Amino acid sequence: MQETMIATDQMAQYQIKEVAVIIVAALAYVLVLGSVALAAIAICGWRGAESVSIDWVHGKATFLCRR
Amino acid sequence: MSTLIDPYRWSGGLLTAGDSISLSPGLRVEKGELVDDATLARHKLHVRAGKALVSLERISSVSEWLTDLDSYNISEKESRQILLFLGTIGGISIRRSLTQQGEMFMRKASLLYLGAPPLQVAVRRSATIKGISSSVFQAMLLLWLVTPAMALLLSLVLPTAAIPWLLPSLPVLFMGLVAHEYAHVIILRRYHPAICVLRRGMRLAILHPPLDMWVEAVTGLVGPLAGAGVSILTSMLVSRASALPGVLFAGQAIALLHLASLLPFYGDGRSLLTLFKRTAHVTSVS
Repeated sequence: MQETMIATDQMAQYQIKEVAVIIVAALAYVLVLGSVALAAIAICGWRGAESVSIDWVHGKATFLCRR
Repeated sequence: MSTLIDPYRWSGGLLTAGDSISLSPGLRVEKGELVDDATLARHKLHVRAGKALVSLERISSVSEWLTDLDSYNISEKESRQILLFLGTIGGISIRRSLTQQGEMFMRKASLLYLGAPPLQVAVRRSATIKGISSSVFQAMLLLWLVTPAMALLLSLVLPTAAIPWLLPSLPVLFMGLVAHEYAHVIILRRYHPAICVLRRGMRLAILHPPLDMWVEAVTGLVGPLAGAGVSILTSMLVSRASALPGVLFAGQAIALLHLASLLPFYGDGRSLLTLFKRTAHVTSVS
C-alpha cells in the first residue's frame, strides 16, 4: 500500500521576490523592435529603413530609407 | 522497487543514471522532518522517506540512490512522490558533466518536439553573487541560443535596421537581472542569512521568511531600482563598445520593465501589495 511520504508544512509562511526573465526580455524586444519598425514604416513606407541612427544628445533619429 | 529501473523514465526525464545528486544546500533532515532554512518550513517525513533523504544528504549517483531506496522498501510510486516534492521546492541538486548536459538538452528538446514536455523542477542555489549569476545565466539559456537565430531571421523580413541591437542587448538584460536579484539579497541577508535563489525555467525568485514591514518594503523597491540603474549603465557601456546606439534604447526599455515590476499585478509590486494587505489586516484587527 502506498503511504504519504512527505507532509508539507502548512504553517510555514514565506515570501518570494520574483522576476520572469522571459517577460522582461520579450517585452523589451517588442518595445524596441516594434517602435523602430513602426517608425520606419511610417516614415519610409512599407519597405522600411535600411539603417537608423539616433543622436541621443540632440534627441534626433535619422532613418535612411530603402530604395 | 526494482533497481533495474531506468532512472530517466522513472524521473520523468529529469535524471539519468550517470548524474550525481544530493539534497540542495539549505535543506536538512532533523528529527523526522525536512527543515528548510530559507523559509523555516518543517515538512514531516515518513520514516522511510527520512532514510531516503538522509541517504541523499551525501552526494551520490542516481543509481546508488535508487539502490538505497530499494533497500528501504520504498515503492516506485512512493519514490516518485519524494522526487516530485523535492523538485517542487528545489530540493534536489543535480551535477552533470558538460557532455551529459548537452545530451540532456537534446533529449528535452526532442521530448518537447514530441509534445511530451519533461518534468520541470525548481533549482535552488545559495544567494551569493555566483549563485545568482549562474541562475540568471541559466534562466536566459533559451535567449542566448535563440536570439542569434532570431536576429538573422528578422533581418530578412523586418523593414528596419533594428536587428543588430538584439545581440548586444543580452549582456544588458543579464547584468540588470543580476543587479535586481542581488539588491534584494544584500538587504534580506542582513535579517535572514539563509535565503536562497529559486529558478523554475525562466522565472527567478528569492525565497525568505516574512520580515518586518519596512525591511520588506525597502527590499521590494531596491531590486527594480537597481535593475533599472544597472541596465542603463551597462547599455551605455555596451553601446559605446559596440558602436550601436540602439543598445541604449534597448537598455532603456529593459530598465522600464524592471520598474514595471513594481506594478501591483506582477513580481515585486505584487509582493508589496500582499505586504500592505497584511499590514492593513493586522492594523484593523489590533
